[in-house]
Amino acid sequence: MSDAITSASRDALDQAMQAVARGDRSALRRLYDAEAPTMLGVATRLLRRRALAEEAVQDAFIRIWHAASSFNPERGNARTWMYSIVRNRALSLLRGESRMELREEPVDEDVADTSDDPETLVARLSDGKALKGCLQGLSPKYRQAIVLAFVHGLTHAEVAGRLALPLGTIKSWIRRGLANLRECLQ
Amino acid sequence: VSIAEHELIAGEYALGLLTEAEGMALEARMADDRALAASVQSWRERLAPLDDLAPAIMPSDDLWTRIEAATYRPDPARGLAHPATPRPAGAPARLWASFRFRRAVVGYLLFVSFAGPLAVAVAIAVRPPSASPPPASAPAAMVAQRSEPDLMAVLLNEQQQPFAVVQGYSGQRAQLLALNAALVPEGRALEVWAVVPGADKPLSVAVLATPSGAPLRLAPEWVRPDLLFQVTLEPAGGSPTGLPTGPLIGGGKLQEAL
Repeated sequence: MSDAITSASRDALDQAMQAVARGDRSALRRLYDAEAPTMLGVATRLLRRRALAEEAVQDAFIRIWHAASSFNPERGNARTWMYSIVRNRALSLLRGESRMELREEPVDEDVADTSDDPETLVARLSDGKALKGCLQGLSPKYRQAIVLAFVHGLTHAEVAGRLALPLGTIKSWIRRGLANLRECLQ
Repeated sequence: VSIAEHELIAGEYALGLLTEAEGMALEARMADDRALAASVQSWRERLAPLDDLAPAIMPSDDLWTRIEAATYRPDPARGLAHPATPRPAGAPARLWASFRFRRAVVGYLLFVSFAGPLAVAVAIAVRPPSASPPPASAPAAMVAQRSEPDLMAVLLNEQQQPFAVVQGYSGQRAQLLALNAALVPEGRALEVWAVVPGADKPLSVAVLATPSGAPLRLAPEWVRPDLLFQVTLEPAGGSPTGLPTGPLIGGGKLQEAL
C-alpha cells in the first residue's frame, strides 16, 4: 500500500468516525467493513479463541458507537483509536479469563499462528517502516520481550515464564527496550 | 539512554503491560495530563505496524447483526435530523436547561410509558367480570406506591441519547423504570453501577438481561441528589469480577425531579 493510499483511507476513516459521532449507523458499517477483519485478527492473536475474539470486536464496535463523539482527530487518527479499543477489550477479556477461569473453551490451535513468533513478525514488517529498523536494532532479548507483550498480550510475569527469567529482569529489559525504541523512532 | 518516566509508563501501557488497576489510574491521569496522553498516542502509532500484520479474519455472518442490534436507537430519525453535538464540558445542568433535551426526555418517557398502560389495559380487559370487592392486596399496593418519587436520573449514552430512566425516593429507594430493550445483545447483560461518594469502587446495583425495570440495590441513605449511575455491558449474569469489565454504555446522576 502506498503512503498516498494509506493517507486517503485514513482520512476516510476519520470522516466515517465523525459521521458515527453524529449518529450515522451506515458510517459505523463502513468502519466495520474496512477494519473488522484485521481487528478480529489482532484480537485472535491476543485471545487465541475465535469466539472470544469476536466478542472483543463486538464490544469494541459498541464502544466505538457510544464513544465516537469523544474521538478527537487532532489527537490521533480514527484507526489507531479503534485498535486501541479492541486491544483494551481483548486484554481485559484475556486477563479476566485467567483470573476467573471462567472460560473453559480450549485454545484454538489453528488460530494460534506459529508464524507469529517475534523474529518472524519483525522480519515481515514493511521495510518502509521505521519500526522495523528500530526493532531490529534492539538487543534480541529486548525485542523478543516487547513483541511478545504487544502481539500476544503477555504480562511481565508471563514473558518471564516464557523466557525462564526473573520478573525483575524482564521489567527492566522492557523498559530499556522502550527507551531505545523511543530514541531510535524520534 | 535518558527518557522521561511518563514516556516509559505510556509505552508499557501501549504494550498492554499495565494491570487493570494501573491502566485505569493512567487513563484517569491522561484526562488532565496532555503530555502523557500525547505520549500514549505516539506509542500506539509507533506500534501500529505490528497490528497491521495480524491476519485478516472474516467475522462470522452474525457479528454485524449483533453489533447492529446493540446500537439500535428508539428514534433514529431524530438522531439524523438533529445530529448530536459534542458534549460541552460539565454539561448536565445546561443539558437540563436545553429545550431540545427536555423534549427528547419527555418524548422518551412517553415512548417507554406507552407499553405500561397498554399492558394494564389488556390485563383489565381480560379479567373476568366480578361482582366481588377488589382483592385485599390492592390497598396495600397502593400504600406502597403512594409516596411520590422526587428524584430522577435520565441515563444518557455518550451521544446524549436517553436509554434508561431511574426514579428515586429520597432516603428510601430507587428503581430503574425502563431500559431501551435493544441495548442488551443476546446472551449478555447490562449492569448498573452506583458511584457512591466515599466508596473506593463502583457498586453493582442491578444486572439486567431483559428490558424490564428493576429495583436497584441501594442503601436508603445513598438515594439522594448527585448519586451517579453508570451502565456497562457485561457477560450474562453480570461482571465476573464484581467490577465493571465491559464497555461503558453511559450513565447519569439523580437529580430533583422537575
